Amino acid sequence: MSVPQSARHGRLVTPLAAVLVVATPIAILALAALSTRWFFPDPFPDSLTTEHLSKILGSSTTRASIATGLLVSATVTAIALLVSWPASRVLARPHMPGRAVIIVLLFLPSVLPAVGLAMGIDIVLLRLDLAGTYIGVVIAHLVPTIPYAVAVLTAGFVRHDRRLEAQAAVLGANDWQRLRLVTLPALRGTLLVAAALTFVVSWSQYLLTVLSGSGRVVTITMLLFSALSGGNPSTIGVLALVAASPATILLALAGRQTTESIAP
Amino acid sequence: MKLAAPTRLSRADLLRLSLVVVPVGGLSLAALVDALATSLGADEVRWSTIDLSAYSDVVTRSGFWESYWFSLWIAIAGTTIAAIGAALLGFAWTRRADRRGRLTLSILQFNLGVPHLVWAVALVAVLSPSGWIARLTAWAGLIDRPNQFPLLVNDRLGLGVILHLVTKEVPFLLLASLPLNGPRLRTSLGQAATLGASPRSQLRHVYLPGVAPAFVPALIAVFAYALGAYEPAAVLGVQQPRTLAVVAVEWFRDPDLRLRDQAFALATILLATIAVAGAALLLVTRHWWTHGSQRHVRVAPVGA
Repeated sequence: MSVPQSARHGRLVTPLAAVLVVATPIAILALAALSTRWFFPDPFPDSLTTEHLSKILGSSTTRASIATGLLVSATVTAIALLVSWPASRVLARPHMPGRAVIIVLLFLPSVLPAVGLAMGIDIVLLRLDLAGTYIGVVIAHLVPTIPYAVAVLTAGFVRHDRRLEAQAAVLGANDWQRLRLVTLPALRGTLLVAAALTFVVSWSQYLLTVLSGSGRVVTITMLLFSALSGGNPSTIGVLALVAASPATILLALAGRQTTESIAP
Repeated sequence: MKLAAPTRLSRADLLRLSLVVVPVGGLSLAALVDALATSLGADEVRWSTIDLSAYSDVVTRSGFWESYWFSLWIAIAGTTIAAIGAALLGFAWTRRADRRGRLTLSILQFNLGVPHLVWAVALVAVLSPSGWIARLTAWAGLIDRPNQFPLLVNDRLGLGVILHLVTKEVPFLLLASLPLNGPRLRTSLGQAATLGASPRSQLRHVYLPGVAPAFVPALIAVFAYALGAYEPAAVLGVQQPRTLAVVAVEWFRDPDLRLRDQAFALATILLATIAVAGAALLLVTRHWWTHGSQRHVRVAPVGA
């Protein structure tokens, strides 16, 4: 039996609504980034140009902030995954004593007021003489990122069949071989999602970076915030697109798996 | 290599767990203690010199209560609308379980990855009086000047901030509550429907109790974010009244150290509000936690 045309169209209403809500604001930013003269009440700019885009992307300030952001977020991702992997393996055991306590402690930063947490972390870093340094910013970013990495990896380990590793052990594989040939390939998708989320959460931080970096570690979100008071729509558009791009690319990569592997 | 998972934690296991607990829980607790100590006038943690003047200075300042109620209004409205939206969408998708829901969820995921600051800036570009929707309205001949367009961002009702919270947090709530429970819930909803339960009672007695263990903690996190976040309120809020989070950051960055103590007093007041709201939420939803699994089976036949 064939589905009537109207019903088939009806099915697309929700995804289209979602695209409209999610994509329209970003598309408008992109148009602003690609136009120099876009005045009220024109719904679209007269002409598009990459002049502003290449000028801002070519500036040393933008490049330095992108490099800083990449360095910080890549370091945070590497550390968060390294420490979360073994812990998630333990947390995924069926009868793990004290699991609730660990989860509450990992959940703690999500229920603290974000401004209070950022201010408090800044004071702790000041005491440790790490405020205003790369290391300080990386430590600060571990607080909101590790819970995501643990959530995704633990969900992956819960689904992971440990008997595969046992079989490899029976066949003579050592610890390293089991990790490299069995566990890592089996959890590749989960690991990719965990890495994507961790990177994006770190890259997206604004206040935490401003405070823990004492304004000396400058990332793209900070340039964007400063540009807001200047008010040039093209500059704001370009910086906003740069700030959103890793998020979009990484989540697009991991998109299909996230739905299945993210766990609260 | 042992196949059966051990039920007791070895010393190595504790070390593995401490690798994540120390940076996250440890640093958060240290930040919390430092915030409390600073708000109480102690530069070092010396509880003998407790001084509540930062709190009394803060609450007697003109504009404090206006800012407090404004912040609370935004947090309650944003969280409530996001909760209702996520519950209804999640329920609809779980019932139908088709590719449409999955596709929509993937689209919403993109929005989850966009930094809060960028999303706030994007909403300004669309909703401000000279934004895209206002331009479309003018192009259609409905308005002539930007100031004829209703104020949707930087408005005294906090509509822009609330809209930001809803559009960012509905995807978060869906992702936090759906994936793990999806297949099991779908079966339960199907059984309830077969036994004659109306959609309304399926939602109330099957879906909500089923997602509650993940949904309610996520909701507390959303409320905490809504109350204590800087970026949305800084970009989409108004100068008067500002939210307490925005005021706290401003005072914290002020060279006057007394203002820094007061900034921490504000943060502590926000924390206390989150604690009360969280406790209230747990209390209101307690029957889902305690009887959730029984209700699954028991209520379906009567709930039609």
